[in-house]
Amino acid sequence: MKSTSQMSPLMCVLTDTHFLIPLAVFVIGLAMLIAVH
Amino acid sequence: MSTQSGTAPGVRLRSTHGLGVLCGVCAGVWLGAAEAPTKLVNSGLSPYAISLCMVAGVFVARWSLPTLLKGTRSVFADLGRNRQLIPFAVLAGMLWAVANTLTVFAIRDVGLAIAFPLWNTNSLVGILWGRLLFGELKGAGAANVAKVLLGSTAIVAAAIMLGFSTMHQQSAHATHAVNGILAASGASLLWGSMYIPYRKAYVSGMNPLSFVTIFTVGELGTMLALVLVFDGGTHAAVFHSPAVMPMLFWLFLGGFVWVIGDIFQQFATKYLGIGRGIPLSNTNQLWGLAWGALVFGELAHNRNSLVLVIGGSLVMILGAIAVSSAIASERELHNTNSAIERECGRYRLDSDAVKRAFDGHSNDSHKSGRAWWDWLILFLVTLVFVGLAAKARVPSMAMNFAWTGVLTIVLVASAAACLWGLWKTTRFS
Repeated sequence: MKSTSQMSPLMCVLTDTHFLIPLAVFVIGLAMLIAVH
Repeated sequence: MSTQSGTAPGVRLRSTHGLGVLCGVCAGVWLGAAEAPTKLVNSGLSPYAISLCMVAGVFVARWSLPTLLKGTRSVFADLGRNRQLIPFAVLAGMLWAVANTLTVFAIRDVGLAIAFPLWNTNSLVGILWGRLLFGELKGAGAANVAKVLLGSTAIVAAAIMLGFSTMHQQSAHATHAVNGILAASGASLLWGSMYIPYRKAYVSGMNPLSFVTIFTVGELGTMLALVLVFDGGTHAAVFHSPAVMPMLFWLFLGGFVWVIGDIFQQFATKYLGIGRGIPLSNTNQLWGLAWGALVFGELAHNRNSLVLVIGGSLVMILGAIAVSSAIASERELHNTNSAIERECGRYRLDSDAVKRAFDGHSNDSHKSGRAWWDWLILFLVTLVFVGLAAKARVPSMAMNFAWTGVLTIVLVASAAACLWGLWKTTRFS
């Protein structure tokens, strides 16, 4: 597994739990919106 | 600048805590007042259309206020130093827009009485993320943990009491109950998780004024997409109806007031953290009720709710005092520093510069003054507001102008105190 110092800035973001958790929550929210619309 | 250097860490910690509390309380005052202009809108348009118009006003305000306070050179220099945070800010705006839309469906399906308490638990979701992801309250004494948790719970309970006091009719639709509860819970989860990017930005040294400039791109883009997908596409009434123009000024004004509150909320998140900042700004319910009851006479025919109003207000004030008095200890601060170090390691940031920025010291170069285009932006924004005001329709609605004056003075005084504190302590950093 690469350390973050070897990753590009974009890969750092895309593998960051601080980004992935809100992104997952956004997808859940969108699914909820489609379900209740 | 004596405020920028040579200050003992303990003294600095206390002054930024005090500043954060001031920002959190002031955010509540302004976010509550943002509801007032929207009460003048009665267009029959869909909630999507109303939200899109308000977010358009928010977009204008989010680009003009940072320009006024720091100048675009400073904002773009900060964004250049923190390019990795741009996707986080856009994502936070997207979360806000979807959460806001979910609340519309929650109210439709289960009524405000059930929906409001559910989505108002967002501050508790925020506290959980703050603890798990940023080490907030880690190492804090039992007294501070109790103050934050009990204070936040008291503010949620008080907001529910105040919400009930203004409800005249409850129209829960049993057939859609599951949908409504799902939507309200979703809004709570999204609004609570939106604070992850907020806090992420500030432990990485970003300026709140830069963050909101990008946040609004995600907010407006998502709201526009939702109108196009769910509200009739390019044929949506918001793009064609003659009812839109006369009400646009009030929605832009509501958006503008809301943005001022949100900027204070961002500074509260920076200087207090999620766990303390968000409950304080959630006291906006108290100020929204004050505008509704005192200016628009919303409680005039509902004297029975006086107990709920007084009880809710007292509980909310006590909750806010409890949260405000929980000053982070050195041990808790050590864990925050660990979170900063982790960010610096991950994104190869200059940890000294990030810590300086986190403490409210500016990393701006001497070149970051205002440019001519800053004044052009401010002139154009003023022109937009004057143009919309000229076309605005003033609805025939009973208003108490004496209370409007009093609450406006409170609004201006609170902002002046907060801006002075931010300028004196941090130069808006």
